[in-house]
This record gives sequence, C-alpha cells and structure tokens, in this order.
Amino acid sequence: MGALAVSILANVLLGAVLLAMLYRKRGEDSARLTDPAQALACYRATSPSAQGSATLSSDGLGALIDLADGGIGLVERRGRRWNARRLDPLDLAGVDAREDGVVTLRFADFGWPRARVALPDAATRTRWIERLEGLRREGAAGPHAGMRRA
Amino acid sequence: MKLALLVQLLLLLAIPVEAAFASAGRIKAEYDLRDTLANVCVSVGSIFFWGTLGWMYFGGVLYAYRHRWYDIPFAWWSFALAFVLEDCRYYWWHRISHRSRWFWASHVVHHSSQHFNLSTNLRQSWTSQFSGLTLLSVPLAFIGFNPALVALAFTLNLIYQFWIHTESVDRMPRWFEWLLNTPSHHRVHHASNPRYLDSNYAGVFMLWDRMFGSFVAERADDPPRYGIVKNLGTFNPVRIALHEYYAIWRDLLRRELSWLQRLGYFFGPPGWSHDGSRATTADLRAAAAPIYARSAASERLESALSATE
Repeated sequence: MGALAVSILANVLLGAVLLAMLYRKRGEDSARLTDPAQALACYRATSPSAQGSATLSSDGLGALIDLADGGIGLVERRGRRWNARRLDPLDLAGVDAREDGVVTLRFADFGWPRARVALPDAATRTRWIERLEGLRREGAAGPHAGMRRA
Repeated sequence: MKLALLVQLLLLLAIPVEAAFASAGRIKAEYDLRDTLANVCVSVGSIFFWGTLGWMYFGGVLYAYRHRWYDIPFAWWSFALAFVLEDCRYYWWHRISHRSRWFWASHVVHHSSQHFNLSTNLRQSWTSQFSGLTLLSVPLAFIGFNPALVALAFTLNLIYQFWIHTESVDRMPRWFEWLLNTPSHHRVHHASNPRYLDSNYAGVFMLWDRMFGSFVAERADDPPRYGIVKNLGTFNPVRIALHEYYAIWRDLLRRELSWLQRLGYFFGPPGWSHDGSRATTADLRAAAAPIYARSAASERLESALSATE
C-alpha cells in the first residue's frame, strides 16, 4: 500500500508542476483559423475527400462546414490540435444560442460533450441554427428517441 | 518492490526532462500541457485501480500456478523463455485489445492523446482488470513458470515500452529496427492514418508482427497523425477513461437492433455498425486506397521526370 501511495504522490507532484507551467503559459496558444480554406483543410485531415464551404467562428477557434453531400462538419481547437467531426443526428443532443452570437452544441458523446462556435452575424447564425435544429430533430425522431440524452 | 518503485520514479522524471529539452528546441517532441496534465490524472486513476484490483491478475496467476502442468525451474533460461512467451502473450493481448470493441473500450484510453511523447505512457486504462483479458496471463503460470518470473517478465516488458513513446528518436540501426520495437514502429502504432491503423502490436520483439502480418513501416511521406479515428473533445480524465463504454452502452440501447447486432456492437471491431454507417479499419483503408494510389503514381511520375532531366 505504501508503494501505491508513493506512486500516486509522485504523479500528483508531476501534475502540480504541470499545473504551474500551464498557469505561466496561459494565452500562449495563438493559432486561429483565418480563412475558410484553412478550416476545410483541417476537416480534410480526417475526411480527405470532403468538399464544402466553411463558416468560421469569429474567434477563429472553430468552424462549421456545409458539406457538399448535405452533411454538417465541425472543426474545433482542442489544446494544440484541430479536431474535426461530422455531425451525426444521433449525437446532436442540443443547440443553445446566446444573444452575443455564441452557439453551443451539446453532444450525446461522453468523449466530446460540447462544442462552441461564435457566429455574430445574425443572418448566418439564424441559417446555421435552423440547420442544426433540423439535424437534432432528425436524431430525436430516430432510434434513440425517448432515451435520456447526455 | 522498492526497485520497481525507484524505476517508476526515474521514468516519471524523464518526462519533464524530455519536455524541457523539447521546449528548448533541442529535441523533436511536442508537449501540450493540458494533454500532459490529463495523462497524469489518468495515470493516478490507473495506478489506483491497479493497486486495488491488481489482486485479480495476481490471484489468477497464482491459482493457475497451483494447478500447473510442469515444474519449470527458477533459472536464467526459464526467465529468458518466460520473457519471450510473455512478449507473445502481450502481442495477442494487444491485438485483441484493438480488434474487439469491448476490449478496445479499455485500451482506447492509451491511444486517445493526439500527442506522442514520454507522458503518453501515463495514459493507461482504468478498467484492464474488468475486461477479462487478464485471463491471457494465466497460461504461462499454468504451464509451470513461477509467478515471480511471469511478473518480472511482465514488468520488464512494460518498462522496455517506456522509451519507445517518443518522437525524439528517429531510427535505430537496421538490425535493431528489424528485431525490436522502436520509437519509429510505435509511432506507427499510435497513428490514425488509415495505412497505419491496427498495426505494430509488439511489446519488445517485432518478430510477432512480422510473423502474424501486422507489421507496417513508418513512411517519411505519410507522417503519423496521433490519436484515434474519432478524436476526443475533452481533457477530462473521467471522460477519457470511460467514453467508449458510454458509446457501447448507447448502441446497446438502440431499440431497432437484434441481439446478434447488439453482440456486433459489443464484440465486433471498433467502427462496426449494423447498417454500415460507420467505418472499421478495413473500410477506412479501402476509402484511402485510391488517395494512396494517386500519391504513389504521382511520386513515380516525378521520379521518372527527374530521371529524364
């Protein structure tokens, strides 16, 4: 039991050092999307043949992609990587829009619970919310209908 | 026990050393502090569950040894034999962990980081005692290898694998790359590029991958993209450790499925779906094949053009 405690303590100490470093380095990650083509390139890292047009988040930390096949793609900054996913009707649990233009997508996915995109332009926001709500309704009417969503 | 602890602490110390060298631009390694912190948090959980439930592993080995077939003596040659056989056991444990979703749900934790550095070692499963694959440890003791030898071989195998989680070592000498697991081979194993998926399962000896057809060499024209096919959008250690179990649970609750299809979602390969709406490794490779073929053809054309110039 002593060895277990020492082992855990060593990890906790390493974690504390990392937390201190994280605090010192806050705000250093300046990578932002500046061009829709960049967002599409990030999406293509996981879906090489994808075609479509991207709407950038105003903070440059994400994008929604109108895929040529009718689907919706999402790109989001996570740490020092760009993550991408195709939005699945079964996974989209909710779409919350704030007045300042921030749209939060809630997923029924324990490994990627939510995403955030800032869409300050009212017309763009309305268009995307309609599409996203449509996708969510499609999922709600599907095989998980009635299941409690995460 | 004290030696094992000391080794563990030394290995832990190697992580900030690699991070510091990488930060100074002296070696090739990329650290994301949030990712590394998540690795440490997952490690604490993993050590806790191993420490409290490890008796299931040792209990199984001791029970098998009590009912052993032969009395294999405690000697250098029996240790050497146990080490090789333990490595073979590790290969199959690892291969099954990648090919069947129930076991993948436990092992995916180790692959969920999108970075590849020494701290990736820390991101280990919390549920390895529950998956049932610890049963694979039983045969060695059942044959008659002393449990202390089995445990030593298992520990040394894991210690060997520490140094191969790095980008800072490019290639080892050819004979070494042929015979043993190296950072290059293991980068391939942690990559999500279609051509690299489900390959290089070896612990120490690459022999097993070469024998059983799972060896893939790292290519300069296709640098590894670390992580999983559907990467995580969180650094929360609990979500990292348990996300795939939740996904399995959701699939099992789907009302339209038959029991056979439910078994498919449980034990089938990761990415399997009853309606083909998801992609397995085989599907991803097939989809990427034309892209790889085009790039190979353009490479051949370029080299032909440069040869005629």
